[in-house]
Amino acid sequence: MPTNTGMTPERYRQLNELFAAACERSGEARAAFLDEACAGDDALRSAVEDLLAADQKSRGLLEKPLAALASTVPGSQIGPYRIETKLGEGGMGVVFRAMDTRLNRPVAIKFLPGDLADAPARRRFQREAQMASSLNHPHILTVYDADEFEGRQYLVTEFVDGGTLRDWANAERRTWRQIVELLVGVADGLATAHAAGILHRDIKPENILITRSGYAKLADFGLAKLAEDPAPREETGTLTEGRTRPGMVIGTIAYMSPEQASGKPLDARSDVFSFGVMLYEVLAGRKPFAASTDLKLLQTIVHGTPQPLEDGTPPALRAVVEKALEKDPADRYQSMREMVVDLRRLARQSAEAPAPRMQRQARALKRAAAALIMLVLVAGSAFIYFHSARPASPAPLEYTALTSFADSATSPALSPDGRMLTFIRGTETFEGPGEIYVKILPDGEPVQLTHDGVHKMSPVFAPGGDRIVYSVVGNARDWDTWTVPVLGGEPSRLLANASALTWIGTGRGGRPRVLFSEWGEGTHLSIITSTENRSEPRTVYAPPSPRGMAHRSYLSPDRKQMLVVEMEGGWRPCRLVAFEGGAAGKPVGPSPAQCTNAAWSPDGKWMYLSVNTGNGYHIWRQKFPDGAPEQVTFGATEEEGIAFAPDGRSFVTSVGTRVSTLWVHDSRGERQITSEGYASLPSFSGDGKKLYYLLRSVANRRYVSGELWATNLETGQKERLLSDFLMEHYSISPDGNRIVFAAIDDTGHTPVWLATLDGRTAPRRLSTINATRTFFGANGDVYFLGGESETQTFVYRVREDGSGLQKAIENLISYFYDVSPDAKSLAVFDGRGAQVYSTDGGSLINVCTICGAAGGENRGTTPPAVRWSPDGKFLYLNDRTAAGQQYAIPLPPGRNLPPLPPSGIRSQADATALPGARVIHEARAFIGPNPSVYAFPRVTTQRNIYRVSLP
Amino acid sequence: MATSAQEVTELLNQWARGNQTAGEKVLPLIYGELRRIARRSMNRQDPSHTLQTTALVHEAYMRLTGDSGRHWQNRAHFFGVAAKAMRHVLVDYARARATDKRGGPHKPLRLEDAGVISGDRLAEVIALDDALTALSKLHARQSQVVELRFFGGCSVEETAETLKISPETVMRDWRAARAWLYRELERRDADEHRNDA
Repeated sequence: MPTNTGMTPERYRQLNELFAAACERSGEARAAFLDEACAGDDALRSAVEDLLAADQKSRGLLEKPLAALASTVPGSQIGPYRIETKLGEGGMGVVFRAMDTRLNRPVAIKFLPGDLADAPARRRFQREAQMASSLNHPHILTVYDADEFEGRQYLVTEFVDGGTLRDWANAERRTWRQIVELLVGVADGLATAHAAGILHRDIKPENILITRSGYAKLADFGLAKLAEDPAPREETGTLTEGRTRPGMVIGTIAYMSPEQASGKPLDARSDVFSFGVMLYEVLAGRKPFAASTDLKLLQTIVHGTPQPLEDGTPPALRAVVEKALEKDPADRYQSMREMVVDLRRLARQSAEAPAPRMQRQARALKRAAAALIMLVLVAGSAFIYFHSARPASPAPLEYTALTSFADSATSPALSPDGRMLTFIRGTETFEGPGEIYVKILPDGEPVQLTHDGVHKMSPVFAPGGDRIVYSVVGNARDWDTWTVPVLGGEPSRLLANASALTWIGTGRGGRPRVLFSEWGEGTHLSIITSTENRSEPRTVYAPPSPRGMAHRSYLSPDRKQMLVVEMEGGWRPCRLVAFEGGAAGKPVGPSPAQCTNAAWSPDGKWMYLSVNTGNGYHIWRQKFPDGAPEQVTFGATEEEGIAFAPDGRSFVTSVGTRVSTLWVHDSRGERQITSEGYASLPSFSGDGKKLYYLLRSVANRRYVSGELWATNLETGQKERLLSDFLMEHYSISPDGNRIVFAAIDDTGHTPVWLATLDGRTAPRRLSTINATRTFFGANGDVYFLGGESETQTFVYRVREDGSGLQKAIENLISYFYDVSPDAKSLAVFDGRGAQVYSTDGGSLINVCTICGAAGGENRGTTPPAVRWSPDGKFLYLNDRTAAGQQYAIPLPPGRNLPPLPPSGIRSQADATALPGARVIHEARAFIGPNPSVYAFPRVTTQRNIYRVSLP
Repeated sequence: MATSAQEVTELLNQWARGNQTAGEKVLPLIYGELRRIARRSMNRQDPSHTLQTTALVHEAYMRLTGDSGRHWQNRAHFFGVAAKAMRHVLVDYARARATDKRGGPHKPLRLEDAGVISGDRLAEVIALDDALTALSKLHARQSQVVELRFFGGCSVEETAETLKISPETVMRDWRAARAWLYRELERRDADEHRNDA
């Protein structure tokens, strides 16, 4: 190619000038121009033409910066779909969970891999979309949409929240009946597809998605083809604009039919075979055809005979599977329809009762739901009585405090004789900066053993009780085991790349053996056992996914089982794995849930787990081997970490309570206003002399609601207002006398009320719609955000006398931040970003895409992302990308917005570039009369170690 | 001996002025910080954390220099440095990933896993870096335009501001550079495969 070899800067410039000029002309004019400009210099002319040709072809090259590729990450938006989490990644693309903001429903979006932009791949993708969408069947994943975003094609399908068939099969021991009942629907769907002339060609457990309610759906028609099409040759690698791509594997070998494996033409009976393989695997727990290499596997499929299914499977079902797995298509079921008929028949016959397992699960959950909690803190003493009313005998759990730090203590462990306690004094329950302490029980003073401030986790005692061993968490994968003597001394490193280490007795040679987590490739963390200096290593458990991390392990007292704490993308349920044998094990405890700690009762009969099922971490337990999970601790506190006393009558755990104390920052500096409980939503009176706020005695996870209090900032006097109400949100009128609020009633509803602060008139309810934010407008109007469900909320307007209720903004709005003092602008968030809506004119202006405050905002401890100062002179913005930062932006007189960049504020630089903009380095600042005076909550979870005595 | 925030700022400034040695000193720090941030986001309990490349660079910059960007004389200064840093980090990273197929026991965290870059773009990044270096010898400004837009994620306006040229010039440079790079990448790819045969 002449263009690029032997080029000099001068020649390049010349080439560029010609290129630019040629670009401005077309057709004949271009040719004429080139004739003249290149006069005789053929090499130059062909170079320019080459570049012009390249210009055409290079349209897709570098079209989007790398950042945009990475921008298909959670939080970004593609058309009406807001990306939430990444669900998985495979050869055919990445799948995300997203929210369709128009219809407010969760969807799954699958993206074609970025550089598979070549025409054959696009065609294949489009074909998948067309085929899947033409099928309308309850057991086939519904396709909603197919489109393109920034050059990448994507497919939008219904979102299934229960995982794949493989997850379902692994979650619990399933009976044949459950399996058949689940899969007969899929078989029916497949039969429907065949009837429409469509073959799936990639039937496997990963392509069957199961909803939470146990409904199976067939997905991923990515390799499907119309039965009449000639075998497409484009599946193998093609050259894309000069660059080769690796050949793609067609289907997954293990599930291929013999004719597929031999490259022969396929028909519906090939899908029958693959379905049979899948059915066999779920029933037997292993694949019918297995081999050490791909080639041998293909041969086994064509020639090998699978082992017959176990006796647990009725003969009729075994016959169905065998017929599906016949080598010769002529001997198989001639259609999926025939197989469906047989499956249905055998499901009907048989007097077997439905799986007992399901019922037990339901009972355990009901027990948990029926429990009542009473937390009584006896001042001065360290006892908490915990009363839970269960259908069985109400057994109070006794809590004894073992530490009482004002900061936090986590990760407790006991010495083998139970007489000493070790823990980390630090705020993190996973890993974080902290120091190792030891304390002699019951009353000794805690002694600090380390003084280095590095990140640590998982301290345990060595078998002799003379040393404490803990993990030091460094950068990347420098997670090492260190040791420090109980009596004090220099810590030293014991073992590199070993974390959460525990001793597990002696091996065959009489040498002590340890169990720990070790980093492998990438982010793969496996459980290994070896001697103390790593000889005779054996991998006990390796997470199946390359991104799986088994962070902690707990060996059972009889050394036969192991509980594993693992993370992949987030914490997963704990897993029970046999210590020998290398099996994958099964999840235990409630699910879905996050499990971060586990322990065995000393008699080996119970598995105890620290689990979060959505309401914070609590202790659960499950009887080994076959019990159902039951919750042990409840309530507004959190419990993480479990270590049993040797007599099994109690365990120690770290108990946390969330505390939010309110502070004020003004010319005098910072001072504390409240010291106990959970304070939220502070606001100043117009003259800045009073501070209002909501106060709740214990933080409730879901609601902000609390009592309304006011404190006089000069005298320090406090009083409770409107004591008949518990409020979720409130706003005080500019004249300081009226208040509009969302009050929570006994049924959990939050209607809007209006009242006067002097109590002279009776409070009035303005609307019954559940509201989460309320504000005063102008001229006797009230605005609020409300709706029937949490995901379907609108901004409403109503008059102060309760009349004239109507929507103020037609679209669904997720958050309502503020109303400007002149009530002409409403600051909201509608899925695209922070917007300001003008009440006269009805336009929505995109103000800020970096504004927001995840988490804290809903609990009332961070101010809304966009709001005005009471005098209308400032606009305050909370920056969610720069931790701990807000901007105070002066407003031109009479305007509610500063001069904004064309598509709003998209970066910190945009914000600070606005005239007069000022940065406030406190994300939680609720600003008062001017930006120098503000109130802010300090939120902490205070944790201390407690001993919990079992009844 | 830890590098203080001030020293880091100075190194970055020097690097922006063309001092390669300063760049070599500050690069490992940036890379380390990026890895730390990525690891943190991997270990977070909430997997829905956004991790955009430019935000990543910004955060890394802030953490290293303790500076929220107020001292940049203008945004241009920052963008130029950030784009260069991003390019170097990603290319270094891509080269390292390309050469280790098996990997030893202590491999750094994969940026792909943190969503910073998708795995199939890594090879492209290396080829592009080589081609871009070749282009910079022929037309430095065009190479800078590509660096800012592609590695730095800058818009046309931001690129124009950084290089102190008009947006039209940016577009012309971009188009010409793109065509030339396309040919160059094609040629390199063909060369590679000729050697394989």
